[in-house]
Amino acid sequence: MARTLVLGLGNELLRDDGVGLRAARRVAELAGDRADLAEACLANADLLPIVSGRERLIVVDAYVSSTDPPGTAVRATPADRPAGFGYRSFHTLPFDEVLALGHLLGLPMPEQVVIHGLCVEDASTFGDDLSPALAAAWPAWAEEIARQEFSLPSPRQAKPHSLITPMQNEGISRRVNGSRRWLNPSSGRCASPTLR
Amino acid sequence: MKTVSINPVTRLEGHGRIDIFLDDEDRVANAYFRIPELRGFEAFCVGRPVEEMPRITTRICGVCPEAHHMASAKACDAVYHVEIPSAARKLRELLYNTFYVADHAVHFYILSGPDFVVGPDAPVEERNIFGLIRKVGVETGRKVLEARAKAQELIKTLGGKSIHQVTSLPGGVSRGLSEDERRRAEQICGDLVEFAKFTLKILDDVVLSNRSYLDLILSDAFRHETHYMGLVDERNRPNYYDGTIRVVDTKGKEIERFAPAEYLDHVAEHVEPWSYLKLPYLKRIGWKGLTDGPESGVYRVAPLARLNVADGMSTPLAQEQYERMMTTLGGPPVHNTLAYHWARVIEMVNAAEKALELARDPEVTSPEIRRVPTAHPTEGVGVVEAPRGILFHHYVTDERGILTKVNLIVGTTNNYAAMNLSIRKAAEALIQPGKKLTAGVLNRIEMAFRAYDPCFGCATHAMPGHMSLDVTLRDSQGRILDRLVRG
Repeated sequence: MARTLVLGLGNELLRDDGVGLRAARRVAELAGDRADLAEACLANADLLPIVSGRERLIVVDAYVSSTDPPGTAVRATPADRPAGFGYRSFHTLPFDEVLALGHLLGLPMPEQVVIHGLCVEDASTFGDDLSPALAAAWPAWAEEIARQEFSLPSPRQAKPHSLITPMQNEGISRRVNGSRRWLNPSSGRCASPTLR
Repeated sequence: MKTVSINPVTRLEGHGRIDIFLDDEDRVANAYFRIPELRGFEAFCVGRPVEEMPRITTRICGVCPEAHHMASAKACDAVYHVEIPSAARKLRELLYNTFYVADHAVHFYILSGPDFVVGPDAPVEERNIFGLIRKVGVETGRKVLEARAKAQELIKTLGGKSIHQVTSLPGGVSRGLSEDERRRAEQICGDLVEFAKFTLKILDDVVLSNRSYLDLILSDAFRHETHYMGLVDERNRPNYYDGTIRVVDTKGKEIERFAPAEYLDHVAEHVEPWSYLKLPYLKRIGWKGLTDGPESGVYRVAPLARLNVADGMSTPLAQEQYERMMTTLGGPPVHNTLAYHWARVIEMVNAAEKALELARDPEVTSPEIRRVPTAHPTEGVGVVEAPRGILFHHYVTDERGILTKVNLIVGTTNNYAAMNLSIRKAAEALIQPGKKLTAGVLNRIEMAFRAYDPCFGCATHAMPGHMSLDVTLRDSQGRILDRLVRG
């Protein structure tokens, strides 16, 4: 078991909502033996056996925003998560509560948790394609995540216009705080894990 | 690099919205529960080969993909006019009953448990899984996680994946069990029976031995006399995977009994301008508005309804508990909405016992697990009892098996009218003229519909809702008097 887990969240049948899954696979591919990959729809207590025992957790997800243009990338931690992150649903636990539940149960939870999000255009229509902006943005986003989190050299010289550095990211996070909603970590129920 | 797959499902962005309308005397005149909608599910499916549906529909919602997988596979069997081998049915049922235990555990411990274990009047920040674990102990929390993990292990063995099951297909299943796997299944199911008994004890110790909780369950604010609908076997016992649809009236008398494929002759859907979701009702009675009672076409589904349409349970401990509940609450039928929680635990026991029975059946290792379809595909209906109520999948194809029409009526939709009734009744009891909405009011209104274990993901052909709640109080002119949002 690798010390780092890359967790992709989303639904590939709901258009842009699947972008986190695609990117997570690419990040894990670039990280090689340095990370394992998990995919989940949403978050609930069934995530605990997957994330416990890891030192580091990298969540890759989609988010919606009334202000950010589609393709905008953000990086956050549970501590500085945007407002709206704690969205509740009937059958799920917010992602940060999943982590808290693990601590309460005495499970060895990751010490480092980061969340990467890409702003989506359409995550409410059934379809297995991405909107054009997302289709163009996600490959470079995934490579940038791999570069940031695993100190890998960027495979591409040019950065996409929508991709932002961590420093820029923090500024944007503060500026638009409250208008952004993470699609999956905050709300979903995650199904049980399947090792494959 | 290892890959862990959990289940790409989605979520729905938006708020559950309750609008409460007052009359000129500031009394509650009406209450409506509205939810957002996702788009294009039928359009996404039409034009695809029907045999893809058991895999596609598991991704509608991550809450009960097993139910969609089974209903879809059964609809495909019907489309291809094929009867599956006995071993295939037992394998599907073993998976399905195992899933029931895991699903009901989530509701009991995480969703409804806090209301009773921590207390219905506890602050919302304490009335949750954390408060529950603090009250009953960390070991209980671990037991719940272990039980779910074991159930998921067996579901993965039987379904190919723990969430996006892939093994049920037209004519049967694609994999059986080896003898080693059967023995492991028996071990897991034995553990699930013990877990169900443990849950019964918590129900006894925390809820049923507390007179104030029994009074709450029996209170008029949480009671409706309605019709009930559920799947039963030939001896009128609930069967979650298959059976005949039975409907009883408000006195418990059977008024309808029909094959799933005939559902359109018995169930119609009413459209209201304030909701995307349709409201099913009994055709023989008709739509009489959002009212309860014997003259209303509103019916209820899910655990309490399944026990109300039954003459008993199919396994010994569940039967014992069924008799106890009916004696205590004076049924069947039991009309107390909060008794849904009790019925759910009895079903957990029943499903665990049934799963153990199936895991011990040597036929589950038979290699005869699929009958390859040879007939021309046409039209088919597949029905199962999803944890949240009876689930219909109805497909029409052309002669090549390409879908031309898809219709789903899901458990939560079947209970939608009843949930609106329950919300209105709670609002009538709790909202007093001149008083502001409080968090306590919101909590009680939540309890009124949480008993149904609603899930609006597939109800809107979408994903599990990011179920924030937005309660708005309006006067007789529609002006907003007060608003409470939790999001």
